[in-house]
Amino acid sequence: MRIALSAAAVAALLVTLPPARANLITNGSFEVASADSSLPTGNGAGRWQYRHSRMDGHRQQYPDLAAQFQRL
Amino acid sequence: MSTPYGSYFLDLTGASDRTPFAGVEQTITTTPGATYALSFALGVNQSVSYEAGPVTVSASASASASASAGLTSGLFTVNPAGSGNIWTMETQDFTAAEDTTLISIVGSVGADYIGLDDVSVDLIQAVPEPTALALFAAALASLCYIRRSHAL
Repeated sequence: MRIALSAAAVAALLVTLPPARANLITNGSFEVASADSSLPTGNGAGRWQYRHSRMDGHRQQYPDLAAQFQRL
Repeated sequence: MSTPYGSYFLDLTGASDRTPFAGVEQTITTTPGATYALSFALGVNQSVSYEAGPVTVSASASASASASAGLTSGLFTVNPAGSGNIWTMETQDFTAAEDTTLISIVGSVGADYIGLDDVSVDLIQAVPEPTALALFAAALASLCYIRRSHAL
């Protein structure tokens, strides 16, 4: 009886534990796989958008991103 | 410049290095009532005067349906001691009001360099569901019963 209750208690506590941490941001490290990757344009959820057209700089650091900025 | 978070980062000063500085935003799926942590790293180069701190960014989380209704927003300034390229992690919690939330990070103060990298939003407090609460209560009751049984 006690073993059954203990197992039930542990199982119930495990079920109520908070979920594992998971980053909800897409590409938070700004890594670019290719020029047509999901970054950075678009209005849908899970994509970065740029607030100002002046984000067109620093091409050496973020070449694919810069190429897309220039179209804004 | 380099970053400890992969191979790339954003420089929020953009190409012109003049204000208004640039920013990025992303809409994410959230659960109303749940609490999240917005974290990001800010980079400066303390060895070069025009790339050194202090730099400031404005970070906000707002309900997507009405961008003016900010859930939380704040100015984050870094000016670390030391030399070279230094990254500092900043964090701000927010509680979602809708099923989508707009995350926005915009440069505010700086010269030629405001580094931004490693942006993340993590769930830190889910909304308790009735079934979860009932399970939790049952677990506590069971543990209390077991403890009393041992004591007798």
